[in-house]
Amino acid sequence: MYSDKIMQIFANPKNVGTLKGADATGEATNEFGEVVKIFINAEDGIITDAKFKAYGSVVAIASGSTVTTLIKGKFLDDAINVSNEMILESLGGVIDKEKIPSLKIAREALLLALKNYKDKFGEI
Amino acid sequence: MENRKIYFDNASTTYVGNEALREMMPVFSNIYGNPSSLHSFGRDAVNLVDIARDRIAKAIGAKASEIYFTSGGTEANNLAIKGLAYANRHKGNHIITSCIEHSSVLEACRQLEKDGFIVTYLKVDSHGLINFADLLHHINSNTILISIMTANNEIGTIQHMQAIAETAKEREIIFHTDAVQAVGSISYNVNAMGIDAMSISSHKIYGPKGVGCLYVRDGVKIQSVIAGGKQERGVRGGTQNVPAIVGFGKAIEVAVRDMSVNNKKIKTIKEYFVKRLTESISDVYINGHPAQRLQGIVSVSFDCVNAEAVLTMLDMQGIAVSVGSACESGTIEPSHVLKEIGLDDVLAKGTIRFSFGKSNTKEEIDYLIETLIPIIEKLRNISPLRKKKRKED
Repeated sequence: MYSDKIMQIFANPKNVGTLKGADATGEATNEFGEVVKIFINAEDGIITDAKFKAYGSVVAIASGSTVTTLIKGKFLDDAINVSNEMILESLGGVIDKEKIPSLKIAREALLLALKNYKDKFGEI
Repeated sequence: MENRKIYFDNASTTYVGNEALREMMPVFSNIYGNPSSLHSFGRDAVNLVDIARDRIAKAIGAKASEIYFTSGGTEANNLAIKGLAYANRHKGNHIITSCIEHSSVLEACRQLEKDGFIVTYLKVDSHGLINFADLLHHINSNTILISIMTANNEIGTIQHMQAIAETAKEREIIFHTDAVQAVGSISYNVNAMGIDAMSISSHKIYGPKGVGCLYVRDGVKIQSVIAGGKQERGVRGGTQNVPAIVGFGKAIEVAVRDMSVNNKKIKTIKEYFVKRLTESISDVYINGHPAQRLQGIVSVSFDCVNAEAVLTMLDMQGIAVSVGSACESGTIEPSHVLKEIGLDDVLAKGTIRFSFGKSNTKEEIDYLIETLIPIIEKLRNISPLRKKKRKED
């Protein structure tokens, strides 16, 4: 069973969608075959917009929403520090152990997007 | 509307029907004797157990002496596989089953493999049917047991029972069938059908949970798989669950009595559901055999969405369904049945089992469809796979 917080986020996920011509994207998969893709735009080192797409379970979708919410308005080099613990905290603090890979892919997608940004624009 | 609750998970379990409930309730406090006791309290209890045994035997065309009560379908399958295998080991050590059996059959077989038995797990085609030639090919002089479920609990496909039973009989091989999902939907006559052993569960047919039985034809050797007393003629130790057995007996009697009425009703509901579903939502696939199937089970694969997410959203609207089967939750591995019928990973993980019962209505199907349409649309909008697929098309 899931916390009310996860259920709320899952039922009304924020930032769903793509960014056309996004500055950077990152796509991660896990052993469950789930996929999270993150799109970011940035200006002057600050993330101005973030969107996600997710194929997967309740946790994968809620994590995609949470990660994009957490990084919006953050400096790119602060976004790197968004941890799985922070995502978990935003999801209400508890999930079943076997669901952790569904949470982790959101962060992996974020790190890949940041790497993609760095590859394209040099320093972040 | 928010508090509305609709149950489309009747293959997982059913509510206890009124007639069964009415018979079993007084037993809890009034007829509490131990059926093994020699006094009047015990005799009263044993009388009730005997009535239930008669009813069950009658429902499947067996003799009362051929019914052994268990704690349910899982125990009945364990008793069948292990009890028949060990009791007939002197004749051979080879067992044939299928790869889409319930886990209680598959796991029992795996345990036997560790103890020197050889097990063949027959493959199935994309409809979930075993191949008859394949069965014949694998039978050898050491084959002592063939165990094939009548109807699959996830996709509803019904096997060619007659042909399998006849093959087994000609070769003097014991034929067991897991009938847990089929009883109440299919009429059984174990003699006419050539069935030597059959597992039945009470809670799938509007009886109480925690009780079931194994039918074993008189003359077929079986041994107990749990150490205990001499209850159930030494085949299954442990004090019988008298109230549950009473409820089970009534439930199966009612199920057989009302079978044609219920089947007709459920078929109408199912056909209406399939029609509305396929008209309303694109890229859905119905699994299992198109004709040779239980009407109550509809396994649907929704492309590009995850079944757990669909289930959770339906649950938030008060609608209960299953992913694959209730016994295989979690997101790591899709159900073995869906894999064996050849579904790709994404479709297998996007598969929901809707199972209908005698109390479901067309109006409930309307509510289901109206709820399902935006859910699938929403999840497909979130899904990155959807866009990729469209591009490929």
